[in-house]
Amino acid sequence: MKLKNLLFKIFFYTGIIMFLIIELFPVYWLVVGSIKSYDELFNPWVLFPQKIDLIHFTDQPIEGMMTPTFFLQLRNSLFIAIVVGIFTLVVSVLASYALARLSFRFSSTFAQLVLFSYLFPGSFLILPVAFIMMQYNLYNTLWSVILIETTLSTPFSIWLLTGYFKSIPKEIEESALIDGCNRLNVVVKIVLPLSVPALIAVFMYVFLSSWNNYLYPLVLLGDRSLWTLPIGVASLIGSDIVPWGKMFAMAVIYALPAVIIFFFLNKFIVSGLTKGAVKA
Amino acid sequence: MRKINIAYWYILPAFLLFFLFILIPLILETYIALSEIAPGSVGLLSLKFVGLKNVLILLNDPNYIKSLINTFIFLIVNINVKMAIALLAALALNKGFIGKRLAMALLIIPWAMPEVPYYLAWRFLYHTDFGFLTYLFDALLGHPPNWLGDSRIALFSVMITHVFKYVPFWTLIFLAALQSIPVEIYDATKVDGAGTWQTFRYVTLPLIKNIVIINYTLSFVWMLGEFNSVWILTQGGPNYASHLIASYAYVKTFLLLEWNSGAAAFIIVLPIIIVLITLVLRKGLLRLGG
Repeated sequence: MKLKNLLFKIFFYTGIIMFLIIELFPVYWLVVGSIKSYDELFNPWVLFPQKIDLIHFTDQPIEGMMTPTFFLQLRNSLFIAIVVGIFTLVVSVLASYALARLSFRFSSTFAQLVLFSYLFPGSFLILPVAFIMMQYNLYNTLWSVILIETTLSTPFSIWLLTGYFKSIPKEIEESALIDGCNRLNVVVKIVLPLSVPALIAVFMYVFLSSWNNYLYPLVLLGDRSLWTLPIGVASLIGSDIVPWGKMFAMAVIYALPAVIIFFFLNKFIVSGLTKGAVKA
Repeated sequence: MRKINIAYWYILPAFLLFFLFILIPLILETYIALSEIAPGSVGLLSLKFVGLKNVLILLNDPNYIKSLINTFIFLIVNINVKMAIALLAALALNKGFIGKRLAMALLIIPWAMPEVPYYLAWRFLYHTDFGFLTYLFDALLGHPPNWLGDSRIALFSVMITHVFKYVPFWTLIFLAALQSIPVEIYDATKVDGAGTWQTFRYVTLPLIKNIVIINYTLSFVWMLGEFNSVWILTQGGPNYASHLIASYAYVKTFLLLEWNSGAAAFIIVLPIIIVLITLVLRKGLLRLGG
């Protein structure tokens, strides 16, 4: 009996460790590829680099990733993600408050529209969105990406904030309303301060989606000086001689903030999973 | 004068965004798909209504049919394989063991990575000259597959990558579902003398069914538009072997500048999406406000 138990345990742990190793290997390979020396990078049997070579993380002209282009792309990515985060928050705080607290005739229709927008796969709209952006002279500007990304992340934020606002006791607001506060004042002075954790979570989630988005910047930003980081990193694969080491270093720097934010949001993301609220 | 309900001012910005960048594009896309660009003119006015012409042309294009079939293979194999692996992993992780928290934290990393760098890493793993997987299979089999360059397996290589990326996502879904089951239920089944398999089949499975159905349906809808993995790994190649609907439409629209066929490529699957979304909304699988 004891032997059987022991065997089961060995089997169990080996299984889990194997599973984790297989799952993590691609990530490990990316990180290790960024610090391998030139010879070791192209020898896949070198699983553990003998010496760490940080040349790809420097501003060396050809090998290094810290180029002016990189900083430009970083700036574009940051700018878009932050503005999308702020826009989405403003738009969805207002809409969520209406859905959670105010009664109006088309509230269920609007709720259906929010869910529809959430469920609709964004990549299906690349063509008409590009077309519309051209009509308004927004094509090839950061604003085109900001507008479409705000649109795509608003449904999820509304979904989340509506639930959060509903959980705040009504009585606090009602007494303020009786004292003569108007609705907007109530939202700004009472509801928002009570919702800071939810607002931060939503902002970070939206920031993350924007930071990770590849398709819309690819479609809407033709001008190299407007490119975001994912476009810049992925474009290196199209070079005649692919600078793998430099590309991996850039990829690591680009991925790092995303992974860190993800860990901060971990609990919040996992709690949304069971409700079908998280896009894979 | 009657005062307008202030609620409408509150929902106005969100409504405008959905209207301008989801509903209008949807109508526009349908219209572009059903029209042709008249030569010598620009803009919306240049579109001439031609009915289902573009759709019929596409349905006679073997490359489009291939991307259509690829998309459904990709979807069905991908989701089911992911779920099978993830269910096993979740059942294992649901047992308390030493290092469980660490295992969970590590497992999240591939999912937390942005897609672009993750797929680039796989592109290197699959590389014909210095890819780890190529070397590994060379050592094991003697003749390594040309992962991304062989038209028979390119789609499967993309699929494998996608499975690896999102198995953690599904594992956490199952885990969350499993943990929502009260312990008392298991105690009760133990008392009744149910075996491991019976407990799983008649107690666990029915209880996690709903969560699985929601996520299965949503994944299905969203993956119909899958683009990033296939674009970064193979760009649909070699020779259309691994194209999906979205990458095919991207090539048609933005590289070949055939806007009408690009729109038609999407419009053909639009009914499926509308039906699925309507189903989700009708059944109340997803509700606003939790």
